[in-house]
Amino acid sequence: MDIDKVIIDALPYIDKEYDDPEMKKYVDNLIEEELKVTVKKDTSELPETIELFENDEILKNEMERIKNGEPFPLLDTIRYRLSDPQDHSNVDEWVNAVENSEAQLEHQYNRLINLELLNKFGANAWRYNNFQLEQILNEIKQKVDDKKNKIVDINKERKYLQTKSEAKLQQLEQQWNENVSKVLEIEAACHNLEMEIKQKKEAKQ
Amino acid sequence: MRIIIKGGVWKNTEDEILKAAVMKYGKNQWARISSLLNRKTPKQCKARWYEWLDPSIKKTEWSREEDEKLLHLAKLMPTQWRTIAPIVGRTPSQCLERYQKLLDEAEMKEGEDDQGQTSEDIRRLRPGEIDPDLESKPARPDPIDMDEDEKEMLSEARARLANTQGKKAKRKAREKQLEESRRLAALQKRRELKAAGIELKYRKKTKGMNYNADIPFHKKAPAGFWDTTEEHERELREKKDQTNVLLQKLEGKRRSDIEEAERKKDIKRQKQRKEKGEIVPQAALKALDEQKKVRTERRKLVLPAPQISESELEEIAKIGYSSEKLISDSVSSTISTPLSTPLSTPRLLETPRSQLSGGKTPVRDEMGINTPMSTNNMAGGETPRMERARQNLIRKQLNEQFSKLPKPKNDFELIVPNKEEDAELAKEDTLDIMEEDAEDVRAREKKQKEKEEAIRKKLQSHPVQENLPRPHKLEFDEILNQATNDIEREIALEMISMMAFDAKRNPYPPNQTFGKMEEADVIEVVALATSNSNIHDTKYTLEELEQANKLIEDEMSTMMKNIKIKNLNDEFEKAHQRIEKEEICIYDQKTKSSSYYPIKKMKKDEKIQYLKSQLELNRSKMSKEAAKARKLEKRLGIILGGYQNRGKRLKEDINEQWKLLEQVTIEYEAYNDLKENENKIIISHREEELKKTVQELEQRENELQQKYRDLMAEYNSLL
Repeated sequence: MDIDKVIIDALPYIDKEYDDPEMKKYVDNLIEEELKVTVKKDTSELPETIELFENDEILKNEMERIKNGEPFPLLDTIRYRLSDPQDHSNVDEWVNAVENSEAQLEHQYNRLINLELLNKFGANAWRYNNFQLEQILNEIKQKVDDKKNKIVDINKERKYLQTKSEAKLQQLEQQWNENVSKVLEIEAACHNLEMEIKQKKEAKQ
Repeated sequence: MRIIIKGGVWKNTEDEILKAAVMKYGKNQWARISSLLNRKTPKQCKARWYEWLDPSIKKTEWSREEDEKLLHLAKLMPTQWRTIAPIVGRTPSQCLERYQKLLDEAEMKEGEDDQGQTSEDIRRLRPGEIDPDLESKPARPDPIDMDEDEKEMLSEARARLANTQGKKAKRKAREKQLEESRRLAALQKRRELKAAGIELKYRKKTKGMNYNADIPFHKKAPAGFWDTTEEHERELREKKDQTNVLLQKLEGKRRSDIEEAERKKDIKRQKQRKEKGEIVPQAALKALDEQKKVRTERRKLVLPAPQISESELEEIAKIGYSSEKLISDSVSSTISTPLSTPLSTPRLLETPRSQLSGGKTPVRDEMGINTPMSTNNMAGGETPRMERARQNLIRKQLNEQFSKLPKPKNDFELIVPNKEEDAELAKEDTLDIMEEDAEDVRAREKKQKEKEEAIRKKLQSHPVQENLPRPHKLEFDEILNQATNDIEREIALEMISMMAFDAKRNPYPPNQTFGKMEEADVIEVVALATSNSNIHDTKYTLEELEQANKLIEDEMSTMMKNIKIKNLNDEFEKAHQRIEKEEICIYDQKTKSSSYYPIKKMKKDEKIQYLKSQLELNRSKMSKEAAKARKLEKRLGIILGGYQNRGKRLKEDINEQWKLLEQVTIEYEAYNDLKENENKIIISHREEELKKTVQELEQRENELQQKYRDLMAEYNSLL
């Protein structure tokens, strides 16, 4: 059967069959079975794989790492130790060590400056940040509430529309019942009459 | 004490008083009413009113209907006269009386022949008996001459009843009257004062407080601008959240605590002083005192030897006071000293005597005739008037003497002195007079020294002046070797001479050594070049130096015009960079001087040594800075930790809410679709379906009906 052409004509505010526990069980079973059978169709139009950071080697590697769930590699702390070079007689290594130490020292100064700045402006910046976060949180909460209220409104509307047509449907159903019983009666009467006619005919013959 | 039994027949006066009292006090204050009537109790008063005086009481003859009613009711409710009375419209006692009377009458009719006592006889009062219900009897008329106490009672009752005001109202009225009279008096007084020309400012006295207009304890703000900064500050201070403040902080230190601390401090200080030996125990002090006392015993009085010997005194005694002149001229000077001392000791009981009057009886000697000393006597006049007279006399005498002087001659000559000499003279004078302060001298010397030092410094070469780094080893031959042509050689020689000069005068460092060239060689070379052999002894003055500088500057300016180099600074920078690249600066801690070594010439070991030291230096710096940074970080962690936590929590909340929002949005869309579907398609579809089936059924029914009809016809035809 073609699924697309089936009209699901459930009217939950009128059809009360689902409230019956046995019926509910039955229906749930049916749904489960159906779900087992049906293959989930991916309706998403998005491409399946996206290549990010194609031009940036580092970021690409980073993405790969996160995809694989690897932990962040530990920082190379050797150069922070300012240790003597391994080869004590090599002048170049010594020069490198001194230059490295100067770079680290500069970095340390930078760090101090940053800390001082943080000390001066940090509290205020954090407060500002928290204020903004609070605003965002409030906005989202408001949206959630809005949506919830809208859902309630829609359900109310649905109920109203369904119950409005309920009377008509019920009337039609009743009519149908009557008609069915009438048809049955007439059919029975016809049958009896036919039998009688048959008998008479047989008697005559 | 006599007991008065109240009661008795009601008199007309009493009735009247009672009526008036009821009019005033009403029918509820019987005690008050009875206080007007000496002989009646409150109960009796009340009974009298309700039995007799009430105007609603009928005192007419009993009608027939009333009688009938009474008899009937008496039979229905025997002896319940209080119930019967309001129905009949009479008082209970009236009812009872009437009933008895009616019974009596009926009895009389029955037994007319009976000659016994009539009921009337029986009920009549016998002497000595008291009528039980006097209240319902008419009042006894007043006699013409009433009793004294009765009269009194009447007048009092009249006064009391006539008084319509209470105690307070009376007091108020009296106060009002008094106020009015006071006001009038004040007015009169003012008027009279005005008439007498005295204007008094009339100030209305405010009595009490007007609670509608005035504000209690209100202090008016002074006119003009009011500086509110202080108030703002205070407000800000108070506004600060004080929920998390310790009570101790709010209240400040307690007085007792402060005192305790002070005491402790005091004790500590005392102890310290004792240890240092600044404090001497009390006993020691006492001992010292006593020692002193022993030392300072009163010395023997040493008086100067008498100026007049015994024999002289005797002589004086012989001469006696025959000649006053003798005493005053010759002896008085000698005699006066011993005389005055005993007299001068103040004797408290005596009136103080002026010392200068010398114990002599004051002689009235205004003209200064008797004593030649009188003009010198300052306390001459006994009275102000006399004093004045004396002064006048002196003045007069003086004036006379002045007038005898020869007239002044105005013939003088002015000689203008040489000012500088004068000033110098004055200076010398002051110098002679005032010795200079040691401090000033020192300051002056210091200044002088500084000045000299400055000059000395100026005389030095620039590298020395600026304390620039200079070569440790003076390798002159190398400098000379570097010179390629004559000009450069000249310059090199000049440089060498300057360097040598500096090295000699200000060796740098102190053990600066000459290179391969010995000092003598240097001198020789320089001497050759400059034809000046004694470089070490060269002396020049500041002026000469300046002149030289000027010469150089002039030459420089002319040269700069010729040469293309525009900016010397750029040149210098280039040179500096070159040196930075090729040479290593080593800072010597001991001599506090830095020196440059060319890298190329350094040996490997030296290089490594240098780099090692550099690394070590950086390491120590690093550890210091790292400690600082760590400390700061720790502090920041404390300060910002709360904010960070809050931020983290907020982020979590946002994530949660965002997920919720997504879910809710999906639900919303789903329900919305459902609604659309139901509204547009499902309902109509269901209806149509049902209609269709119903129609089909109807059609079927019709068909069946037709079939039945046909069958029926067939059946009928068969019959």
